[in-house]
Amino acid sequence: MASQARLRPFRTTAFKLSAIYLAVFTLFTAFLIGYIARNTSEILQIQMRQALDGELNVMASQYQRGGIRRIAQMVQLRSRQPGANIYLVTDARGGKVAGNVESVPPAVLTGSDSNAQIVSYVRLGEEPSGQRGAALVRVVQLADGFRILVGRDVSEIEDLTQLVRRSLVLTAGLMVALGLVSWAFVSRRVLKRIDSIAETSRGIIAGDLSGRLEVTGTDDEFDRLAHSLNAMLARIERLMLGLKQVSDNIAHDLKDPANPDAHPGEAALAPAASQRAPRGAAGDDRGFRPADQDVQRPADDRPGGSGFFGCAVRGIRCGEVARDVFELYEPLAEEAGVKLRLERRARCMCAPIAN
Amino acid sequence: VHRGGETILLQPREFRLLEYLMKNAGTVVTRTMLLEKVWDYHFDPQTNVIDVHISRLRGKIDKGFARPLLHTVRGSGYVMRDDG
Repeated sequence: MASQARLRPFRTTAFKLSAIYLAVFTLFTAFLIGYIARNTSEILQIQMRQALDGELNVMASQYQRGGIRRIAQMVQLRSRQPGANIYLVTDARGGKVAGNVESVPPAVLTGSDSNAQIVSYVRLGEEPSGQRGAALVRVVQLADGFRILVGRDVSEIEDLTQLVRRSLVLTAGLMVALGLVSWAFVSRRVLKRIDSIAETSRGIIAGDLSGRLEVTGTDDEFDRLAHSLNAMLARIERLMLGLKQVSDNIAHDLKDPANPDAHPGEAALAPAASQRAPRGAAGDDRGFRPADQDVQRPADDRPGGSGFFGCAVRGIRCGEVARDVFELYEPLAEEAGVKLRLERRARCMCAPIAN
Repeated sequence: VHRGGETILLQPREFRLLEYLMKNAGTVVTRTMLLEKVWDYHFDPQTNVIDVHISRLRGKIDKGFARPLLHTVRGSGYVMRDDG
């Protein structure tokens, strides 16, 4: 039982909706951030490749003009600039001629791959700890066996990747936390209303028809539900009250001395009731009564009388009813080309049979 | 009853109808209200019987006069009102 009570909040609709919303939104956000990061990284790499190609083209033209000396001077000059790219010029034996790179994997220089590739490297004089960086490089072989390596550090892309990863983790964490908080708030509020409705319903089932569901005035779905149920309860209460009054009246009529079927001994023992109903207690007018007399006393004379019987069991004159109906429908019939005629052939009265 | 110096003869029920409309002058009264208050009937006649009575009353009190007093409120009922 205790474990069921603990699991109860997790079985609520609010929890399920919150969980679905959270999962869908988290997945969507992760996809979106990953997509943006991937595209950004690709764009940066493309721009880097284009920049490297441009530099290599310039160097190739300078080599044709001034040979290796000119290239070496140009590399030395560019290497000194702050935030410079990676440059390395080697001779046919792999010996360093100029550049700002201390070491790169030998396969990069000796290999035949002239496409851009990411390699690890150590920048000259800037990596005292020997920590290697990563760079997108391209190697071009010149005449006489000289090779030029031009590269660009890709730590920016790495930083961007790290930034995106941190953002993703932070966003996902925040969303989970906010989702949990909102779920706790919603489920607490929803559960409170449902508990209140259940509690009131139990009271009504127990017999308290005057009980009503709480309406907070927020006009939310619970308020609308409470309004509908309250209206239904009010209607049921009225019907129950009417039924009770009818049954009370029937019970009273069965005991009434005016009732011909009432027990004679009971009538004899109820003088007060007999005085209250002189006509009914007279004993000589049981059965059919003149139409303009009440067969039974009006309900208002009785304790708890509701008027149901008082209205229903009076004798009525059929002629009056026919005259009223004639008067009401005669113009309508006349418009329709029908001639209505009212005739009185015999005295007609409707009266209830006593009991 | 009299209107504009003219005497208008009404049946008792027409008189009661006019009386109720005049007591509620300026207020829209529905057909159900008229049936309940003038005829003391509590049911839906399902016919235009009230409209026929109103038409007869209108023929007596408004016919021959420039300004009608009894107006139909479409979809609702009738109102007694002097627009002048």
